[in-house]
Amino acid sequence: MSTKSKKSKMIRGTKRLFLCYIPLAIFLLWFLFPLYWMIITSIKPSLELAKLTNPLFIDYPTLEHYQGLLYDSDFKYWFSNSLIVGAASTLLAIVVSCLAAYPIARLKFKGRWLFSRGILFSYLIPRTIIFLPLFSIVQRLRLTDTRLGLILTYLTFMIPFCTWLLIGYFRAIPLELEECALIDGASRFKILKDIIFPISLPGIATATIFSFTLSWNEFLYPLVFNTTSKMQVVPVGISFLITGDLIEWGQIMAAGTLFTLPMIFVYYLIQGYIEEGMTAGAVKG
Amino acid sequence: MQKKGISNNKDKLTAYSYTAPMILIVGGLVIFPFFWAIFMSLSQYRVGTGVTAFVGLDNYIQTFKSVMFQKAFRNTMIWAFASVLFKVVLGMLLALVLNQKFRMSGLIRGMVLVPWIIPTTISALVWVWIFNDLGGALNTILLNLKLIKAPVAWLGTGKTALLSVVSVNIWRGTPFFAITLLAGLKNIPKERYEAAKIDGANAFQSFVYMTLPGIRHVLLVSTLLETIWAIGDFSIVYRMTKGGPAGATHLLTTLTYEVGFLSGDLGRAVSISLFPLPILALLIIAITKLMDREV
Repeated sequence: MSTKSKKSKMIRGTKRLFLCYIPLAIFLLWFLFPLYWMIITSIKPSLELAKLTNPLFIDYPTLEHYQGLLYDSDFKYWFSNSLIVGAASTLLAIVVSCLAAYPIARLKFKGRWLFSRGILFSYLIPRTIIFLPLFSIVQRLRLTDTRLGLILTYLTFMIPFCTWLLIGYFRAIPLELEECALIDGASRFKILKDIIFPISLPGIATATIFSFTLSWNEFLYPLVFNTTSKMQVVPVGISFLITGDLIEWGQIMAAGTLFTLPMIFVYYLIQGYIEEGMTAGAVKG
Repeated sequence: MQKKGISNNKDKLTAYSYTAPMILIVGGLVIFPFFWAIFMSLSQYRVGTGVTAFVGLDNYIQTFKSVMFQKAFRNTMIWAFASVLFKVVLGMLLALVLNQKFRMSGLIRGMVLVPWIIPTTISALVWVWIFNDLGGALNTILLNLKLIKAPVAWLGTGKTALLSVVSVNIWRGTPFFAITLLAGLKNIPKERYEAAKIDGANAFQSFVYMTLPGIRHVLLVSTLLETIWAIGDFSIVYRMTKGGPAGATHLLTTLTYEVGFLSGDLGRAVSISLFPLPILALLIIAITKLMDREV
């Protein structure tokens, strides 16, 4: 090998270091540090937290904050409420959205244009504009401080999102598949159930994951609609851990860790769907 | 012919019955509250008493005159503009970096998504703890590097508080841009770059003339979406500072909450939340045009 090609290889290597690895390292440090800081705080003894001598590492890891969280706080209620509300609202949203997306994607009827525009509008209009009137409605339905109230109101942001996403998926399915079934005398419901639904499973999976994530993260509605600790979900319930002047960072970060890790695990398993879903709104369409 | 007519009527029935649950929920709990919000903002409406009088634009005029509203309006503009600008620029940079070939790219793309996966209310709290003046990570690191002499209360002083919450929003939103733009980049045919290279285009030229036009649509849609979300964002600021200190980080959304629930003046509160509606309407119309699918 000549010295010239060796040199050019070295230049390419340095170029790669500066254009790829160093920027990547900086981004990852910035992105991941809070995760590290959360976990490390959650297993750090209160004594070490107070001493401030060794902030980035731990001398003697402990589970005391997790113990305190699980035995002395309402965390278990918040966590199960988050699960119940998330699962129920996601399931309902998927059923309602599949039913609504099919005719909008496939059938001709008056109001189709209006429905499709209405869905996009409902998806885009900020929740902070409608939460006060919605609060009056929830109050009148006597659904404040209930899980049902949350399930119902979470549907307001899940259904527009899922319907919009699914219309795109349904429309991409070749018409011929349905026409054959129609000639054979299949009903529209049978077509939706036996043809459209199985083919669109990746889209439905994406809609499911995203809906669940939206509900897992939701903060404004539970903050406004529910007040008692036992009816609360984790994002709001965690505030009950902040009482008085002395903030128990250990316990708060333990709650954060327990609430975040399942999400990271799920996303790790199904990364491909996520990236597709994230880009569906902007790339597709 | 007749048969076709019958089946069309049947289709219509199918269409309306299948969309009925969606229409009921979205109509009753999104569209109706939206119009009710407009009505509320034109009324004297307090917690407990309900609507007592129609006052026209009075709430808007009162709101416009209030110092806190002006502060929140200014903050919202800074918040939205700075967040979106930095998210676009950093997201673009990261997408270009990720678009190169390197080992473990799947794992690294997964790690890039972490700020977006951590529930925002949790990460906002983690950042409060990082910015803390007593034992927070940022102060400790800066003190050790001798960049500051004494701990700074990042969220406690007006000057740094807005900057800090904006930085958290950028941290959270950059991965979304990076991954969406990366998908756009992957759609640009490789051959085009090679052709440009042969024609003697340098890296900057091929970015401006090939890359940018290639991802124009994705870039535009995600920027508009992100702007709408930034204007409507509530949880980061409410979690981190509740709008304080002394309103230095109040956004229109957090001010709406405060006026509505702490002073109980719902008419005023809703008028605050509706102020950005003209801007939102323009953005929504633009997005609708861009996302149009010949429906």
